[in-house]
Amino acid sequence: MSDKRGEKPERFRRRSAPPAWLLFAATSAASILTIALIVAGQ
Amino acid sequence: MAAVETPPEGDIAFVSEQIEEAEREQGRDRRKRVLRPILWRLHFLGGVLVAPIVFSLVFFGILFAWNPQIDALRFGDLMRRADGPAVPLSQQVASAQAARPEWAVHSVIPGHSLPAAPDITTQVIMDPPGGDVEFGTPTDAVAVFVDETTGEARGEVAVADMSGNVLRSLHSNWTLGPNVRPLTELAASWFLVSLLTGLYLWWPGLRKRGTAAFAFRRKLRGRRQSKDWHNFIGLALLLPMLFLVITGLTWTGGAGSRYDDAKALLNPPPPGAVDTTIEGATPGTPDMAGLDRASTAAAQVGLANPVRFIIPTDGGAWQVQSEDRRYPVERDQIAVNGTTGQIVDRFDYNDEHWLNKLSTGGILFHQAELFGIGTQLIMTVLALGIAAMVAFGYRMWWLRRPPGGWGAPPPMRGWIRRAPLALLIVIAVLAWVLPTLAVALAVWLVLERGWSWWKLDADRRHGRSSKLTPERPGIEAIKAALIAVAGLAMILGPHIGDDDASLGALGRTIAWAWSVPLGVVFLAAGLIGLKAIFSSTGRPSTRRKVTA
Repeated sequence: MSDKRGEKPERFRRRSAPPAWLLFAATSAASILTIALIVAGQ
Repeated sequence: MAAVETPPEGDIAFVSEQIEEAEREQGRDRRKRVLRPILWRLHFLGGVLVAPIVFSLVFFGILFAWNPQIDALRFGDLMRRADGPAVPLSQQVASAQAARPEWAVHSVIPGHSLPAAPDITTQVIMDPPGGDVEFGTPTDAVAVFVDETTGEARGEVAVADMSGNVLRSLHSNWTLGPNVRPLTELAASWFLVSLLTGLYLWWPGLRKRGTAAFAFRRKLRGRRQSKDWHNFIGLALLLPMLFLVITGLTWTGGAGSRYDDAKALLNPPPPGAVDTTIEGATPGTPDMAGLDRASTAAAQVGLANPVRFIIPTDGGAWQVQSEDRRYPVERDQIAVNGTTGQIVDRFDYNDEHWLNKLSTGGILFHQAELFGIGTQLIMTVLALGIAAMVAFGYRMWWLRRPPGGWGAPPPMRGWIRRAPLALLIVIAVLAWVLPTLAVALAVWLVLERGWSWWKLDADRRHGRSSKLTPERPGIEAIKAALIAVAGLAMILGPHIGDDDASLGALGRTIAWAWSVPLGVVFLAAGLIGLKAIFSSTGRPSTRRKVTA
């Protein structure tokens, strides 16, 4: 029950979720790219 | 009628969906009941036991990331050179030798090849008599700074006192020596496990809230606000943090040797090197004119900066190696005959095995060097993110704590019996990969068990019935006996560091403190356990009386 109390309306979720998700995707992609660059690096 | 006898396909699909959903729920429930407490406990213990060390790693790590700038502040007057063309390297080395005639010259890094060129002085690395050699460099090496323009020695600094080395040592062992390194390794290992367990604990949020689970909710307050921030930072920086901690662990004694073992399985060739052998050469101090010839050859080849010239002592060729620290890394090497100036061997970094490239690149990234100042900034943000995430973790726990209690997840009693096989396999693999963590966790479980035996005995002494009375006293007694024997072995057996003559008084004390007091604690835990188990189960009449 207590978990539900902090939930924000759908409108809020839609506005805030994509940037947070993108941040995760961006940092993950950057890490993988760094490893790939190191291994392939000239 | 027909509809009653054969329900429409949609209904069948609906019912089977319901059944599948119920089965999934059951599976989730089981995971929630069994897995979650174990992983939560591990996550929590990581926070309480080693997170303070993570703060130290973060603090000294950030300072380390900026060590070139710190060196420039500390030794700016030694490092700045006058304007004008450079004199030959041999002349610069002669100045250093004149300043320190009793020392041998080990290597030379020309100022014009260093990142802050053209304003920076040449470093002549000199080797005072005595001392060890580590990673090809004397441990007591001293850098003599020589102005490239005037050829004059400006001053000297012990290489170990350069900010990079001081901060590296503070980062890994607080300059207390190798016997303290397991502590930072433990923190890094547990941090890795905490990232993985944290991901598991967060996962249901993803199922419930979708991608919104990645975000923090700005209007939340208190514990739930900290939890959202803790999760948000943990996820936003998850992969960079994993990369950082894994590259850091490759340096450590325990996990690092596992990395070496795993690497050996793939059998990469040793890191590239040049052959400096010259037929018929006589060992001795070489003619420094050879340094100028080697320098000309290196300039012709166009080795990436910075470049280090290693003085041959066996009469062989001059080894000139690029110590490139920027992407794309080009650590080419050449060997130059000092008499003729001919290149006798060369190594092209493009031919380096990919695993060796990965090791070098991983080290350079961890040291905030790979992409120049950009990496320094990234690592600083990453480190501050880690500190903030840990701080929010502490705040969550602090606000959740019941009055007078710890608010800790329940102890891991009987977890080996309850945990699913897959988890046990993962734990076994992690225990092999992270031996320091495995040992620390085992010690912690022994301490916890010892404490519960102590309480069991206290309950018996006060004539109370105890929740802690073992279900299987025989097995419990065997465990207690094994712990006592292990403690005895730790007290009487060889102590860690006994055979290490290089340890000073402090190092010896630390080495001793790892084994003897811990042995005493183990022995005490085992004996208390045996006493408690035999007393609480060996007198059934007393137990019946108490429980009646």
